[in-house]
Amino acid sequence: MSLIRIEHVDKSYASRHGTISIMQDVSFTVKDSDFLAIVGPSGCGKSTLLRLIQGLDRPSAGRIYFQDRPVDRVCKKMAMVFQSFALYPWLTVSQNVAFGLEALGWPEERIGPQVERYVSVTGLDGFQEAFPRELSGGMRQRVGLARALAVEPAVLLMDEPFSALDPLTAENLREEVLQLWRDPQLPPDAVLLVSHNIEEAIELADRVIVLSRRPGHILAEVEVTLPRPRDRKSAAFYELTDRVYSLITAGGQSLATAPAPEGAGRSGEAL
Amino acid sequence: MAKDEGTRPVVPAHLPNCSRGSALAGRPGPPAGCRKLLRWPSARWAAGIYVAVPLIFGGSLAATTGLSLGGLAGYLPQASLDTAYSFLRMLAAYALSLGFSLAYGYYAATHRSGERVMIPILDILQSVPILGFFPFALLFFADATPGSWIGPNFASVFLIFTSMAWNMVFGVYESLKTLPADLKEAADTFGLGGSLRFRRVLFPATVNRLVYNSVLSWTAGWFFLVEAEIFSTGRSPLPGIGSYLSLAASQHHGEEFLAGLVVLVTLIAFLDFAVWRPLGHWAERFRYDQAPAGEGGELTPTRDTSGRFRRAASYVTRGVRTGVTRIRTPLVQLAAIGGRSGRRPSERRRSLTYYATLGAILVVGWLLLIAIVVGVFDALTGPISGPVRHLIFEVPTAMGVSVVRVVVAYLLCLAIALPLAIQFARSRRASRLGLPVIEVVASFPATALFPVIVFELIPYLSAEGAAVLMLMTGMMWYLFFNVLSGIRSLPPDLEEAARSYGLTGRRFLRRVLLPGIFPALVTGSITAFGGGWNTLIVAEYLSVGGGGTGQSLSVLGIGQLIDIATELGQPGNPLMAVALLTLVATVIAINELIWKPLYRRAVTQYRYD
Amino acid sequence: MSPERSVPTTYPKCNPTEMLGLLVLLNSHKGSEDVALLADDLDLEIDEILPSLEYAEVLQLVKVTEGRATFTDLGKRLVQGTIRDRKGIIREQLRRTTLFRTLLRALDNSPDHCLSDEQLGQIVSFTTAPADEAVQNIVNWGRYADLFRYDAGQHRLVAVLTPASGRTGGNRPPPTGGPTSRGGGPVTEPRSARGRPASETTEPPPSGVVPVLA
Ligand SMILES: Nc1ncnc2c1ncn2[C@@H]1O[C@H](COP(=O)(O)OP(=O)(O)OP(=O)(O)O)[C@@H](O)[C@H]1O
Ligand SMILES: [Mg+2]
Repeated sequence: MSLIRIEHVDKSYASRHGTISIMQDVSFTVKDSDFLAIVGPSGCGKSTLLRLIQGLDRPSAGRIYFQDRPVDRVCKKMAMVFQSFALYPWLTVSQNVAFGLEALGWPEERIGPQVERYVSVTGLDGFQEAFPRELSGGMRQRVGLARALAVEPAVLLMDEPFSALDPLTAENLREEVLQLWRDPQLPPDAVLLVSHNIEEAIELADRVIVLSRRPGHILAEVEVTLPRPRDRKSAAFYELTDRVYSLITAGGQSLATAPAPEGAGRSGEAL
Repeated sequence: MAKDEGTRPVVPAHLPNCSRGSALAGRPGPPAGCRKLLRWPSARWAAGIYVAVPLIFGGSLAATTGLSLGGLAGYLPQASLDTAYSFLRMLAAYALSLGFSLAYGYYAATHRSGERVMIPILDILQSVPILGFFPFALLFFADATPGSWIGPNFASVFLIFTSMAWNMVFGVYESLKTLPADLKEAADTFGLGGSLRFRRVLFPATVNRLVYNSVLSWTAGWFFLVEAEIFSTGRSPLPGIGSYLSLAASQHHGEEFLAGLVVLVTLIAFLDFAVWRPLGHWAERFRYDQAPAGEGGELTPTRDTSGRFRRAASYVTRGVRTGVTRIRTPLVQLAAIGGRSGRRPSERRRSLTYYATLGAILVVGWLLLIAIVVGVFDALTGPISGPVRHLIFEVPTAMGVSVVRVVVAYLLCLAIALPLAIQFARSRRASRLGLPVIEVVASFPATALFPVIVFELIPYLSAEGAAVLMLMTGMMWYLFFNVLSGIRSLPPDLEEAARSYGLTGRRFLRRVLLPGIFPALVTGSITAFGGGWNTLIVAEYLSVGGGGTGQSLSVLGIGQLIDIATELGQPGNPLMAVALLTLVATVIAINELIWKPLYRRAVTQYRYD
Repeated sequence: MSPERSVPTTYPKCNPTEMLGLLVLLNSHKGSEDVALLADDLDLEIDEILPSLEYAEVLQLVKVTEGRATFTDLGKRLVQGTIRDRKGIIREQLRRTTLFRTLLRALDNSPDHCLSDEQLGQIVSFTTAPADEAVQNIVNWGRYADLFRYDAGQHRLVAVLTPASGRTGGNRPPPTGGPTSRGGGPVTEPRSARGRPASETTEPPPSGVVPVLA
């Protein structure tokens, strides 16, 4: 069953020099318990796509459905995790986690236990009363994660959630996100991950959607069936990253920012 | 924020005497010890100063004039009562300012169309010497409610409000505008709207700036309050500490005067300790300009709140930056059209034509307005009387003299503030011991001492000297704290580099320090001039007591003409109008033609970040 | 590097999340890998993963022999557990280190169950690292493991008190014997381990006390 259907979505912005097309004819579906990654060069509209899906912005053309209903305002069954964490410095960890629940109008007495649960699930026990500035980057992103999960979303939207973290911390958080997603007792059903990093996408996702450079359109949908945990040094993994990489370099012939094709062996680099 | 936050995450960079304060003091000391040093002693120290400064001042005065403490105590009840009146006025004005700034700032920051009109208006309002309008407001409100206490109080609260509100509005506006987009977006994604959004996101975002700007607002508020009350003495009943002090001084009642000072200082010290320090500490958590997530986060929000003037000064700097770089007043837009001459309007360097046009617009506009005013008065109330007409012709001369006076006061301030600030930044000891003293002194409204200046110092200083001295009290602190914060924010490596090249002494000053602090210096100058214009109105003409005991100060100047116009009443209205218009035009001209270009140059040429 | 470890000189700067990242990385290399290759996988220099490795070694989660890192049994169990299990294991291992035992005892003995930054700094003062960094690092670990709280407003460590014993978190579960058996008891889940059995707990490793964390 499809959780999200994106049909022929275009997005353009008006600017001084006429309209700029950001995205053209993007269609795909997100199934229940999908882990979907979206990769593409910088500026191809990945973040915009996430915003459209959650209903923070309208497509210029095409439709987006969530559980077969058109998304026409901010969908509260989805929750976003930000690259910059977007935590409120004046709220404690608990209050940050409670943020979405308050917005949903939960009664006070239900918010408390829910917050405790997700604080604990994400390994934040003991930090409840801390303010974000006291936390390291990894712990901050866990707060971001807990805040998103606490509203028990059907879909978790993540916009480059690991790129502001140091490599080891990112490695740990990637694994933890996977763990949370696979736990049947915990939300979300599906994860939509936007990433700059092809290796990261292939390591985590079941399917990788490859966008072209601006105006972004879908170059391919790549299935990843490797067993987890995935070994980045395995031949199969290599082959997949290579494929995605050459798709992107070929799809955007004039991709100025891409390194020369012979660099393809290190395709984990940011695009 | 400073770069060193990443490498030394435990000590926030804004601890004044540690990582930042060491800009000129050599290498930073061991942070832990430094933090210890900064904790409570600074508060205790400040408390001591609050007690010591008035005691020394009062004691020396008592010693030289032979006053008795018993006599002083007898005046305390009356002084307290009058101070309470003043305090109520302050509270009313502050409540108004708070509500106004939140509403105005919020609307301007969240509505595009509102912003385009509201912020330029604000910019003009904050650069116009509002105090000049006080006599006018006093007359207006007093006329509206003849013989009642409501009118003068209304005028005074209104005046204090104008001294408090603008910088708070800018604080709200800027903190909402600079709120990181992701924090707003996070609220969107969770569908947080309405009052919850205001309570959880928008209001907290403004708290830090509001608290710090409130400190400034209260300081300015006291200054204006006392000034307004002094001005009103003998004209309209406005019981308060200002009128109390000026009456006491006019009657040469030293004990009575001292009692008033004691009560005022006590109240200000109490507010500082019981309200602003705790608030400042609490407000730290509402900062969102913190460094990005470091290795281990930042464990220690600062405890030290004694740097609030410097902090406030740095906020003022930002306010000025907004005023200069982002805001295009209608006037500037007009001039930009005139001075475009084939260049794109967005061009940084403005042409000479631009300034010529701007100057021409101002002169022509000013003449036109005066003509209109004179014409209107002639038409409405009959021909303007001969003496008033004569005074109107004196306006340009008076304005010129006032400008010279302000410039002289400014240069004297600079001669004191610059070396002092450098010394404070250089020596950690000096700044640790001296800075709290200066902060205490700065938070005390110098206007309270004006009666003493007039009644006791004129024989020594001459009227001209007394006027300049009063002007200086209204300009000094802006300059000092801005320069100090400028030196403090110099990157330490600038100094290191200079040292390693053996650049010291005068050459270091000329090559490194002065260029480095130039932007802060310009900001300080802009605000200091603002303070100067506002002080003119009492500095040039102060007449209290009346009759035989009255002593008065009167030197030619625009402030004097405005005061004379007030005393003339109805027939003086044309003079009042012309004088005010001239003052406003001059202030705007100086801002647009001198300060803003200088400031633009400062930020483009002397940037080090 | 092994000879240096017995004489504590520095605190490697490392977060719990970083060390966990290293373990996850090692797990994706089937639990045993050359250290240089591990670093290479994340495009890091070797010395960038050394602090994490050192912590993992001190906590007896990983063994390093001849430049090759291999999971211990406990380490293996850790990476197979949930986020909460991992936290529980780290908590128990941390509690066995001399440093944390000293700290928790000091917390226990202080009259208000608090330690100021300065006191904490004195306890860790035998390091050569800048004192503040070391303090922060330790606070990070202790907070993560829920062994104590940190009151950033007052700049002090606060003991996690268990209602029954009135003793600090370092003593949960209640000690079964004298002070030397501290940490030898069975490991329990940290607080509010709801919905999950606390059964997948760890047995104490054979050696009773872990060397000084350094
Ligand atoms: N509100 C807007 N108005 C005009 N242009 C916009 C707007 N929002 C985004 N854009 C443009 O749309 C393009 C796509 O932006 P988007 O942030 O979605 O890209 P992205 O793929 O997420 O890039 P990155 O990898 O850098 O995050 C960018 O070129 C951006 O400048
Ligand atoms: Mg993006």
